Amino acid sequence: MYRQYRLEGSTRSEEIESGLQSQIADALWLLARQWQVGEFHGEDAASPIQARYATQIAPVDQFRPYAGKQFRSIDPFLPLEAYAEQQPLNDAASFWRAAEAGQHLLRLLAPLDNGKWRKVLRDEYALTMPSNIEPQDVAVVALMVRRSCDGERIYLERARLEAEFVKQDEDFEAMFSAWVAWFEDRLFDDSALESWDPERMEYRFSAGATTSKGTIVLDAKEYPGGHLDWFSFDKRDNAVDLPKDGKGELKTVIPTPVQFSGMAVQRWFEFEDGTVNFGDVSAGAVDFARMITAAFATAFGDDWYVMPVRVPIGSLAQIGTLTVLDSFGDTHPIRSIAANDGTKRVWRFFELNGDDDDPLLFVPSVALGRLEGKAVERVTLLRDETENLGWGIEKAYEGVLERSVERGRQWTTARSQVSSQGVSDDESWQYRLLNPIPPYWIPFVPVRMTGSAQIRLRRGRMSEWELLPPEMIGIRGTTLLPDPAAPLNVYEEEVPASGIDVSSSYQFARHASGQAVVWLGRRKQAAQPQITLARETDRLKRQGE
Amino acid sequence: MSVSPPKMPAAVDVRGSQLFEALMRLSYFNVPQAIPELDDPAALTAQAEAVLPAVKTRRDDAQGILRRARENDANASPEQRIRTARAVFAMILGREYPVMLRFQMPLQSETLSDQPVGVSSDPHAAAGWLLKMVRVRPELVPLRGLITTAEALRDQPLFAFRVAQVPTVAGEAWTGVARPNDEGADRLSLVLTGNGDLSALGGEICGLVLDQWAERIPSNYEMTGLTFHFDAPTSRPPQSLLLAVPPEDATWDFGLVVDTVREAFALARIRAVAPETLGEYGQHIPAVFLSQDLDMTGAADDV
Repeated sequence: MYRQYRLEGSTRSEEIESGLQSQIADALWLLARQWQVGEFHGEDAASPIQARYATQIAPVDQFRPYAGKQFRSIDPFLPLEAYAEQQPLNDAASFWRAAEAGQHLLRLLAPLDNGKWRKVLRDEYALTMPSNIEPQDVAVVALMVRRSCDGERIYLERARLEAEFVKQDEDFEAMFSAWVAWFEDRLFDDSALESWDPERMEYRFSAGATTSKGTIVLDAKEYPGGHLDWFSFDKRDNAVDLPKDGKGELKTVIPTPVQFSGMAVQRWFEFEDGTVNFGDVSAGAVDFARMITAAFATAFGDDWYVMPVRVPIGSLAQIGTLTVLDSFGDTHPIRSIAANDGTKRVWRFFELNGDDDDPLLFVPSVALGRLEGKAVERVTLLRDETENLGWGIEKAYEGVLERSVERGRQWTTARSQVSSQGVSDDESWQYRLLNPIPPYWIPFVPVRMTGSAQIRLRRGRMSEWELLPPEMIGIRGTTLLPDPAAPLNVYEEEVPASGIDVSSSYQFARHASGQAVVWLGRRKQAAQPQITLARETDRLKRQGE
Repeated sequence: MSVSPPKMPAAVDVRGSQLFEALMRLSYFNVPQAIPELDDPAALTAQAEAVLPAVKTRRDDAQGILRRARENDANASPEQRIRTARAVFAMILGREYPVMLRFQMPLQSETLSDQPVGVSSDPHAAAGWLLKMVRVRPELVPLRGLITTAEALRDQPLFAFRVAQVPTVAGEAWTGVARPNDEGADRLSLVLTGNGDLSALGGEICGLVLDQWAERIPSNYEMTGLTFHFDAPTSRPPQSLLLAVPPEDATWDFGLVVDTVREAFALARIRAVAPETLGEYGQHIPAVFLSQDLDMTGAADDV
């Protein structure tokens, strides 16, 4: 019997191993796979090989408080937070600043002095003992009053001092100018730029970018302190734009395809990065951001090209023109997506609110890696619905030596001294209609503003405090007492029932030149932890309980 | 009626006596009950006898600790040596005291003798810098308090400062106040303070590390990106090499090359086809047959 064998080639197998191995001994099979995934499919297209773009840059070099009229020019490389957050010192801190500055001047003077200047400065610029000093600080304050001089006043009257004394001695002159530079550098503050709005308990200010057509105004209307970035700013609607004349710095670069981890690779014999798997992203039905990201990464991630653009910090930047040259020598002008989509576009990325035309990229100069001191002043504002009041609780204020003084502890010590006088019998019962409100709980009374239906919370005082010793009452910090001569009407909506914490602490950041900048800045946060109101009524208790 | 105070015994001044001085010195070491009686020599002797056993115990215990420590001194870590020293001091002095070890100065001597630009011209640059940093570094507060009060009390500058910076670059400013010449370079800066001349600090020294932190100096520029979408072709070159040879009786011409390439691609497409895909055609294709001998010994080698 004559039989024949038929030779069958098979490219399929139930087993997965050989397929995963992707053996490449078979040249025809390799070509077949390429054909299957469409790599031989001809397209009427070319690859971009060169791009040419023009950037327009406007430095953000002007600043003003939100309510201010005039812009002041600022250093665009200094962190904007320093301009925005800086605030004046309270009395104790000012005293300490003046005393230390005076001592530093005497320190610098020591090598060229035989006591003459020292005596002159101490006599002419004597420090005066400030009020409300903590008992444990009295000794060091008294020492500074005797041995130092008022550096702040010397700085303010430096013109007179220079004319009268300094010019007499060359060494003194050099030393004095070094001291003046040190004084200005030590703490960054400028009362003309103060941006804290005490009635809203947040910072409100505007930054301005200088262009040939005028100033582009960027408003930060609700900056709570802490971290400033582009998203804190809105562009003012009627503001000018960067000139659209296509001029600017021209750059020619080679565009590179955008690549990211987990990107679907285009070719058959390429391994994908297993660390990121966009196919496995779990997103709920309303989790649009995640869905968009996953969909973009898996289906639309290719054919994007990227080029680096170096932008100076503290500036607004815009791409004027972009022209792409392809491998067949054709040029393609490319418009921005925002310009294509028009002012009603829904897709906005890194755009400032109010920037509807050709969007600008804002690269603010921010405090990178800032160091923050301990909070020196802490205030909590909360609502009391039962009494229809707001409370501003000054928990701590800045004392001398940049030290935070806890008013709660101060009050407990003082009260125990007061109440221990005249207690007769430990067994006697005491009835109290209301417990006393500590003098650092400042009441805020709702008042209707004249000429409007708006209600605001006005700072008041408790009549029961009249019975307390005068050194225990009053506001020591600047948050609740920004201006001793003016009333404070806080917007009702800024004080939620859960309360807010406003704390001040010293901030430190470096300028791009390396110069160190220190300022006193505030920060507003949700109250943490929540405080229960201290009012108690109808309490019967025995002494000592 | 008047009450007169009780008669005191006649006072004998024992001050200056050897026993008095010895007890006085012991009292400096926090020995309980060692502050000497003033009036009565007999009481003084009794007091000395009462105090003596406690002093001896202290001495013996301290010597015991020292002896034990010496026996395994060879492999004692610095922490162990500090612990031993603290225990001995606590035993002798009656309470704990901080103990510092001497260590070898890790810097080369010229690092301290050559000050960075700006610090060399202004000897108080570091002091001024400290007054600035103390606002954000609570660990520096005690040092500032010490300097401020000590200098106010003595009415003259008492603290010398020395700045060291590694790696040392000639003519470079201090990183405490300025950026290094080289953008992106890292610098380690040490600020030393003490009483006396610190410029020739070397060899074995003794001191405390008060604080350390890292700072970043921002760049003048930020690198941003410009991106655009461009429909580039996704076609790719073949991943195989086609080695074509002309037929024996022909020479190359363009048509032959094109046909060879076309044939290769046609074959490649066929390559992907397996009998399972062919359905009914699978009975006939592939038509590759091997003859087999009648004796069933195996496949013939001629196809």
